[in-house]
Amino acid sequence: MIKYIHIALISLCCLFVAKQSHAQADSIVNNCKKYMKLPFISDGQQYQSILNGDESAEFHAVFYGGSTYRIIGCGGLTDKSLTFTISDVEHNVLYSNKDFANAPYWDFKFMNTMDCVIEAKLNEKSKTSGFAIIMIGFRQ
Amino acid sequence: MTKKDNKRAGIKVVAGAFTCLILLFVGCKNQTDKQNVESEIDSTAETAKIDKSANTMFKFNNVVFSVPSPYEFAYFVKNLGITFNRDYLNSPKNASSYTTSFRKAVNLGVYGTDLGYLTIYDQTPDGVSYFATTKSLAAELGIASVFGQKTMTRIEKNMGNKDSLMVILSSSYREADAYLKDNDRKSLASYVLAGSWIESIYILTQISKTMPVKEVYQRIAEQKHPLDNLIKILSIYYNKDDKEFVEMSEILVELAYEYDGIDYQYEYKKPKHSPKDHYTVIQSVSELQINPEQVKRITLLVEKVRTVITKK
Repeated sequence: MIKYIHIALISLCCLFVAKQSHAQADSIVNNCKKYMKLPFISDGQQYQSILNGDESAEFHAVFYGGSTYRIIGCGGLTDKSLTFTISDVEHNVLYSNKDFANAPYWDFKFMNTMDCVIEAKLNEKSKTSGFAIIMIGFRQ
Repeated sequence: MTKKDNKRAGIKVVAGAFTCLILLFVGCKNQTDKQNVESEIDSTAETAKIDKSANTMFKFNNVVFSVPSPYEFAYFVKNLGITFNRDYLNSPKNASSYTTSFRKAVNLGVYGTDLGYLTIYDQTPDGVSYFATTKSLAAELGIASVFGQKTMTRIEKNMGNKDSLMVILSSSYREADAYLKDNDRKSLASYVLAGSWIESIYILTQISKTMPVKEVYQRIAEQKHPLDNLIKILSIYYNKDDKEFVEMSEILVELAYEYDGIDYQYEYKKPKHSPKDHYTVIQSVSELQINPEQVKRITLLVEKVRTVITKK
């Protein structure tokens, strides 16, 4: 009987933890969404990853020449919880928000079409683990 | 204590624990609903515990590939001064013949691109029937809430305002994407993405037949990397028993081989930052060279894959 009680409790705890994780992700998404406003339009996708400690997530994206994009990075319930770096396919760093006080969003004009890698990491001062969410919007 | 007493005590413990957890759930939900950010989980230790479990639940990969927005494509087409052509689109009448989850999801992507195209060209009456089809496919996939009454009301209020409609459309698709990913239905999210990309390049290649201009050819060539990304996304969900999926994937791989023939040159140039405006100009130079014969072959393969996913 005790065994069943343990199983039931563990299952319920797992459900609770999962629910809390969803709530945490929802809050981060809301934090991100506030920067996605006209004239920028979401690309219709939500790039997310879960990070522990020093882990980083890589988001591979293509940006069209002549277009302007807004990249938003959120990793916590406050701004500046995520550091993100954009590099080209040859690993040249094009931008890092670390150089700009961990800005949660930045706008980019691409002169030519490019395949880029966005590397996201949680700000070590803010968190040791959690969600990393990147949103990309294009200027209409 | 008898066995019966033990059982009763056990039931009481389980019921008690269950009640506590229900209360915690309700509390947690109310917090989210009110977006009470301050009271969110901000303890580092607590968050660490949560994320360890969440890792197993969400099964995230730390490398994520994206495909450019179909709505961006719609703006591109309109800005070139190309006239609207309804024949490019997939008829909403076909939707009733999509019975498998794969076909529903992939065509949810197709109709999303068509909706963007219709919205940009102010084709409101057609847009309404496409939205109804989208809504019905989403409901059949279990994501009705994303395209629910609230979204319909927002659309009605913004009829005639294409910018606002595009915002509603793109945010609805982003929410659908997030919902599917969060609920361990990432394969469906990838099918939606595949459908929207295939429809975008289908419309582009059809346009190239009547308007063989440099800008259109260039945008077709620029699909080289998005196609590679799409194949990487889909490869995770490859299932040899799913004939429809295999058929689509095989043509996409064939298309990627065709794209391999397109020459790509890249040269890094230092970006120009304007911190005051939160703005950076990426000045690196890239060039893709495509010839009319390659466009023709790509067009044929795109027509083939589009037929596979949209046929009745």
